[in-house]
Amino acid sequence: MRALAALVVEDEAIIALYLRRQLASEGWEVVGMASTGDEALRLALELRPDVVLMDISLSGAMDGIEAARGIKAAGGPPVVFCTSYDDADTRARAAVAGALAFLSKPVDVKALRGLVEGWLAG
Amino acid sequence: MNHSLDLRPRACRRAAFAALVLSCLFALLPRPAAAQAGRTLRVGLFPAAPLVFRDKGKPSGLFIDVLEYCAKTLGWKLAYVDGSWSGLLDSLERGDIDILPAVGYTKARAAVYDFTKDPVYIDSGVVFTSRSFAIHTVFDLQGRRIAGVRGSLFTDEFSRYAESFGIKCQVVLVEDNPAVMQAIADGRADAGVCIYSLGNELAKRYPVRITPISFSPIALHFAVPKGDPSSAAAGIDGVFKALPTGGDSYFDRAFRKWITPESGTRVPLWLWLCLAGLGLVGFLLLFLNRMLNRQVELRTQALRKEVAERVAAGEELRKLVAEKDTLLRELYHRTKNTLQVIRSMIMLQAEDYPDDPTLLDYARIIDGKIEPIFLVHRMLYQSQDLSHISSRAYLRDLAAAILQARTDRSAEVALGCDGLEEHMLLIDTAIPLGLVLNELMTNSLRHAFPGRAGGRIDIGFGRLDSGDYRFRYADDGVGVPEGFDFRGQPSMGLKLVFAIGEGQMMGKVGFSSRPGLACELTIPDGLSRARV
Repeated sequence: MRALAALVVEDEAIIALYLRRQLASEGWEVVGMASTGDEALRLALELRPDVVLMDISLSGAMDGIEAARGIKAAGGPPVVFCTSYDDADTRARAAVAGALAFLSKPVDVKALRGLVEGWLAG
Repeated sequence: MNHSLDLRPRACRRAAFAALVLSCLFALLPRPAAAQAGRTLRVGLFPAAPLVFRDKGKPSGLFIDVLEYCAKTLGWKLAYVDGSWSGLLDSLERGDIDILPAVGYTKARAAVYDFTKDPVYIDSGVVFTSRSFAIHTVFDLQGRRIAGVRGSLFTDEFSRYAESFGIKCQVVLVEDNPAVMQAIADGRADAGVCIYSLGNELAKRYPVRITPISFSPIALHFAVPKGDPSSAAAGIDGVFKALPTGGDSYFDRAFRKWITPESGTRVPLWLWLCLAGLGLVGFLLLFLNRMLNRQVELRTQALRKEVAERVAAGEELRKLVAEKDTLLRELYHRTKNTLQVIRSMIMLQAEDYPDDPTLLDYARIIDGKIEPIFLVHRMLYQSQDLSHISSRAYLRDLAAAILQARTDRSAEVALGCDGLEEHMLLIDTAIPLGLVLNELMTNSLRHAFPGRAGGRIDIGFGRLDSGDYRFRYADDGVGVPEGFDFRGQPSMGLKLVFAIGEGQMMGKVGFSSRPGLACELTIPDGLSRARV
């Protein structure tokens, strides 16, 4: 079974680093790290990972939801939102962006694997 | 006697003859016209209200009413001839009219006209002046221009009256009494003389006022041409003579109508007093009503202002509450994020020492203790009122997270949450309760299921009849030996359970072991109060 490739988009460096280690320890390959929406959009289309793990609150003018819309519009990989902004309003906005899933932090990496593998299989 | 008898027939015959001759002569004489019913008499009419005047074209006044009565009684018809006073006097003298009403009797006039025997009204001359002119005595008239009706008795009488006091005036002659008032009003005369009754009426229509100067009382009669050719004066005298004595003859009623109209409607003093009292009460009520209206108006304005201020204050308050909610939600979010950063830092740091399992274990223990605090903040961030979280969701999610985070997965541990009731917990209750659950579960996951393929943990939370809350925890593990001293254990886990459950939450902690390990924590109602 090949390792799943992920692009981690997170503006909090420590949390990004910890998520990267968690993913690595569970057999994931983290192909890239981004901290802004623009960077996420560019790397997602350039690296084509199996999934983009997208935080919603990001540095810069573009937030995670707008970046996810851009990725979807450009035919990029699926996006899973990983955020601590898990209120109803944010979830509603995120749903419109066409994300694969909406996960609260801290991310359950095992659950994430099942989610992505299921989507890839389907 | 016989002589007498002899003489009587002769005398009688002479007397009878004389009577016959006189009768024939009388029959040959023209009979007085007025005596004939249906005869039309010409009556002079001039403006002298209320004695003689036209009211909306109809001859009116005291003299006219009396004359109409006489005409009706005597069967006369009356034809009115309008003219000026002096002109009508001339007409009467020439016999162009038969009757002139309201003529003052003087010897000089009696030489020219005949008068009815009884006067209809006694009047006098009065001086009128403009409202802005100060005339109080006859001496104030020295050198003044005085208007008077040409040919009027009062004009002549006034001149004699003034001269008797040595007063010299310039008399301005006009045609009738209204012209006297007009001359005063126009400033062509400083004052004017007029008969009192007429002047009083005219003063209502002209800017003039009556002065105290009065002179020449005079009786007013009906005047007829000298010799009374139409016997009008005689007819009127006859009607006057036949008038009933007392106060209610036609003449009396006419007098009340034209001269003293108020006499029939005299208001008693008590009624005047009552009316004055009512007027005063009405005025007071109006004043009071106005005052009350003013007060109501002022109060209404004050209330409107107060309402507007309260609405504005309410809006401001709602805005502040919304801002507070936003800030508080952001605070919970940042606290949760910060805790997540701290947890990540601890775990990252521990993973730098992969060869030291004890260090990693410590890191996980610390992470587990942070988990309840993290979860409470996450749930508060999501809650509606930012103060309460669901006991069922909180304890269920926390237990699941603790199970998820365990490293030793040799035993499949089932979690039973059926005993969790739905109650709303404040942060000051939720965090210590979560810490107790974490200690108990960590203890069970480490020690309860050695060498077993599976195990079970049940948690419950509910309210007692007393109002207190009870948290129940049980595992079906190996339990503890008989007589195990829970309070005397040196491990931090149990010390924390007692310290938090009894020291912080003012509750009662009880352990039992048969089978497995069970713990009950009773928490008093009203342990904490909402802070936001």
